[in-house]
Amino acid sequence: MKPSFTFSSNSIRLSYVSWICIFIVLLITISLLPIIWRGLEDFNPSDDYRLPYELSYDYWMFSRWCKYACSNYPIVMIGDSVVWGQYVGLKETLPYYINELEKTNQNYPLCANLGVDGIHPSAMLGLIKYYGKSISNKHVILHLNLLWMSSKKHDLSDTEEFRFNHPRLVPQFYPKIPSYKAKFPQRANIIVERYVPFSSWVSHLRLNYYENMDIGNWTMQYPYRNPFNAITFQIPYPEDKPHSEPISWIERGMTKQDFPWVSIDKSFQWDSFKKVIKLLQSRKNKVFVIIGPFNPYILTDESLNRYKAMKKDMENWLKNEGISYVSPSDLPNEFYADASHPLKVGYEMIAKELVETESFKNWLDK
Amino acid sequence: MLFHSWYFLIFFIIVYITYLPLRGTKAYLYWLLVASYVFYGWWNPLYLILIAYCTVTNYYAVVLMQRTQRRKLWLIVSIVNSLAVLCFFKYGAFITNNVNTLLSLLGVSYVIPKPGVLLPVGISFYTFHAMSYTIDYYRGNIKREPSLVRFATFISFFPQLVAGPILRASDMLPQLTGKPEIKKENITDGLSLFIVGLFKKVALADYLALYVDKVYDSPNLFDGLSLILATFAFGWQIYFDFSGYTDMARGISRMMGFNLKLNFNNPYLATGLGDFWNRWHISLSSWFKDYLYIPLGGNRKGKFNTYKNMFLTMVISGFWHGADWTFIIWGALHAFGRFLTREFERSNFYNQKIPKLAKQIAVFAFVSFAWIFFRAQTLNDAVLIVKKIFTSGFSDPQFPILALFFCLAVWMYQFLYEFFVNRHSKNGDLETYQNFTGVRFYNISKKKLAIGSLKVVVVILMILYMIIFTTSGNEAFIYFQF
Repeated sequence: MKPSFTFSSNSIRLSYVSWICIFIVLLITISLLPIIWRGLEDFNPSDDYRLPYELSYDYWMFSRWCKYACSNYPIVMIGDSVVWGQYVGLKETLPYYINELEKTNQNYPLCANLGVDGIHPSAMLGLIKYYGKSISNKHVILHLNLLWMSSKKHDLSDTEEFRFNHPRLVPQFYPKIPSYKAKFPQRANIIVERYVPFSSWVSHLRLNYYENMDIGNWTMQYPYRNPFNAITFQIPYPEDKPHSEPISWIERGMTKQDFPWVSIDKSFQWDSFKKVIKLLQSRKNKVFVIIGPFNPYILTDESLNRYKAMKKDMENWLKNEGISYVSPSDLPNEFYADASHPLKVGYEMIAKELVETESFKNWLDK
Repeated sequence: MLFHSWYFLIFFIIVYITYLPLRGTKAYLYWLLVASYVFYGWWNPLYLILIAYCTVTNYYAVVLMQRTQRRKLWLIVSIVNSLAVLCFFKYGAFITNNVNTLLSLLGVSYVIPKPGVLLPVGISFYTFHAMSYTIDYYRGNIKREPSLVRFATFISFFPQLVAGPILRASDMLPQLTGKPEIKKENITDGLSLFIVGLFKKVALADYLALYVDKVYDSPNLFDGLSLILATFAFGWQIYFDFSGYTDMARGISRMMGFNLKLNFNNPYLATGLGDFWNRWHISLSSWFKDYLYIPLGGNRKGKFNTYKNMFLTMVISGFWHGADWTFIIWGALHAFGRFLTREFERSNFYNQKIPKLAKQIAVFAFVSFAWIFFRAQTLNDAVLIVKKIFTSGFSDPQFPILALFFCLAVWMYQFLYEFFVNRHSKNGDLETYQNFTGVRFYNISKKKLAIGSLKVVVVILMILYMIIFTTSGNEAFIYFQF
C-alpha cells in the first residue's frame, strides 16, 4: 500500500491551472523584458560611438548597438581592437577618419565602429551570426587581423588548453576547437544564450550593473548596498581616451619576434573568416575586406617572408571570390603601437589610403 | 550528477519519457534500475561495484534467513557486512589516523598505512536502506522481496540515492510493486516541490555559503560578530541545502508516481531539542530511533538507561554524518542538550510560562552553537571559533544585508505558516499541527483564492530571481559527503 503523502512544510503547492499561469507569465516576461528594457535604458550613441571597453563581452549591448548602427549608418566596420581603437581615443579611430574624409558625403556619418576588443575571426563569426542579425543589405567593412594566425595557439588549432577571448562566441560542439576545454553545462548555457535574447540580456545586466557577478558575489563585495538600486538604467559611455598607452612598439620595449604563422589551408581562424564573409554575403551585404595593418618591423626576416606568402594566398582567395579588399601599405616604423595596432597617425594614413583606393570607391558606389 | 545541472535535466527527460510508457510493463523496474545505476555511476563507475555488492549481500542474507533456521546469524552477518563496508570506506582513514596517533603516543614507531579509497557518495544512505530491509524482515515487519531487481531498484532509487530521505523497505518496496500511478497532482506537486527545493539550493544555500566559507576557511582572520553571523548563516545554509535536496528528490519521485516521506518540517521553529529532532532530517532521526534507540532499550529501563541510550544514539548519529571528532562532538552536544532540557521541556513552566518565540530562539541558538563543530574544518578551528565568539571584538562583519533579509523572510514565512495552520486548528478547521497533513492544508488554502494567486506570484519571482540573479556554479550538496 502506498504511504499517505504529506506534501511539504510550506504552502507552495500549486495546481495545474497555477502552473499554466506561471508558464504563460514566464514566457511573456522572458520574451518581452529585453525589449521593454531597451526603452528603459538610455542609449544615445554619438557619431563616433564605439562599444565601451568594459562591455566588450556584452553581446546583448553589441546587438543593440549593431541594430542602431545598421539603421543610422550606411557602412558598418567590424573587427577587433584594431577597428575599435585600442591605442586611440574616440576621434582617432579608423571609422572616425573615414567619416572625416567622407564628410562631404551626403550620408555622413558614413561608417559605424562595430569593433569589439579581442574578436578573432571565429568569435566574429559567432558575433555576427547570433548577435549581428541586423547586419543585412549593408556595406560591411570587415577587418582581418593576421595576428590571429600568427601561431597555432592563436589560431585555436593547438591541442593544449588555451584561455582565449570570447569563448562564448566560438563553436561549442562543431567544429571542435581542440584548445577549448569547456565542460558540457557551460557549452549548453552558451547555446541557450545565443538563441534566447533574455539570457544575453541577463549577461548584460550583470556586466553593466553588477561588475559581471551574480547577486550573491556582488553583495559579498558590497554587503550594505541594495542590489536593486544598482540598476540605474544608465549604460557607461565610451571614454574618449586610449585604452592603452599610445606609444610606439619601440618605446614599449618590444623586440623582433619570430611568429611561426599557420598555413592558410590548415588555419581554423582563416576558415572562420571565410565563413564570416559567406555569412554576410548570404544576408545580402556588400563586403569589403581590409587585410592588416600589420607591423612588418616586428618580424624576423624569416617570419616576414612566411607572413607575406600567407597574405598573398589570402589576397588570391579574395580575388578569386570577387571580394573587394585592400592591404594597407606598411606604415612608418614609429606609427605602430604593437604587432598589429597603429597609433593615431597610422589610422589617419590608412584611412586616406583606403578612401583613395579604386576598389574601395567602386565598392562604395555599388 | 546534480539535480541543478544540465546533465540531470537531459538525463531526467530521457528517463521520464521512457519511463511513462514502460510503467505498465515489467520492464519499468529494469529501466529504473538502469537509470539509477547510470545516475550513480556518473560520479565514478567503480561505485557501482559497491552498491551492487551491498544490494546482493543484503538480498541474499534475507533469502538465507528465510531458508535456514539461523535468522539471527544471517541478520548479524548482513549488519556486520553493511557496517564493515561503511566503516572501511567512510571511517577507514579516521580510524587509522587515530590508531596511528595512539601508537605514536605509546612510543610505537609503526604507522598503519591509510586506506587510499575515495568515499563513495551516498554510502551512508544506501547502507541504511539495506539494513532497514534486513532488520524489518527479521522482525517480521515485512515479507521477503522475491525480486532482486525490485530490491536493487529500492536500494538505488536515483532521486534519493545520494542524500536521502532514508527509505524504509516497508514504505518503498510496495510502491515498486505494480504500476506507479501518475495523476495531474503528481506532476504539479512534483514541480512545486522541485522549484522550492531548487530555490533553496541555488538562491539561498549557495549564497550563504559564500560568507560561511570565507569565514570558516580562515576563522583566525575574523572576530566575534563575523563568526556568530557565519555560524547562524551556516545553520540556514545547511537547512536550505539539505532540505532543498530532499524537496527536489521528493518532487522527482512524486512526478514518477512515488511518495517519499517528509524529511524536514520547519526545524528552526522547534520549541525544544526533542521537537527539533522531530523536524530535522526526520528519516534519519526515525531510523536511529527504530533501529538503535529502541533496540538499546529506549526509555523503558529507567532514567539512567534512557539517557545512556539517548547519548549513544546521538553520538552515533553525529558519527554517521562524518568521520571526524567534530561530528562526534556535535552529536554529543545534542545529547547533552537533551539531558539538560528533556525534563525541563516536559514541565508546565516550560510549556505554559515561557513564550513560544523565546523557546524557538533558544533552540535555534543552541542548534547553531552545535553547528560550529559540524562545520569547522578541524577540532582546533571549532575551539578557536568558540573562543573568539566569546572573547574577541565585534567589528564590522560585512555580512550582506540581502542574505540577512532572506533568512529573516524565510523564518517569518515559516512562522506565519505555522501560525496560520494553528489558528485554523483552534477554529476546528484543522487538527493540531502534529496531525496536520499537506492535503488538508491544501484543501483550506485552495478556498482562499488570494493566497493561490500570491503563490503563483511568489513562484514566478523565485524562478525569475534564479534565472536573472544567481549563477548555478554546480555546487555539490553538503550531505553528499555523508
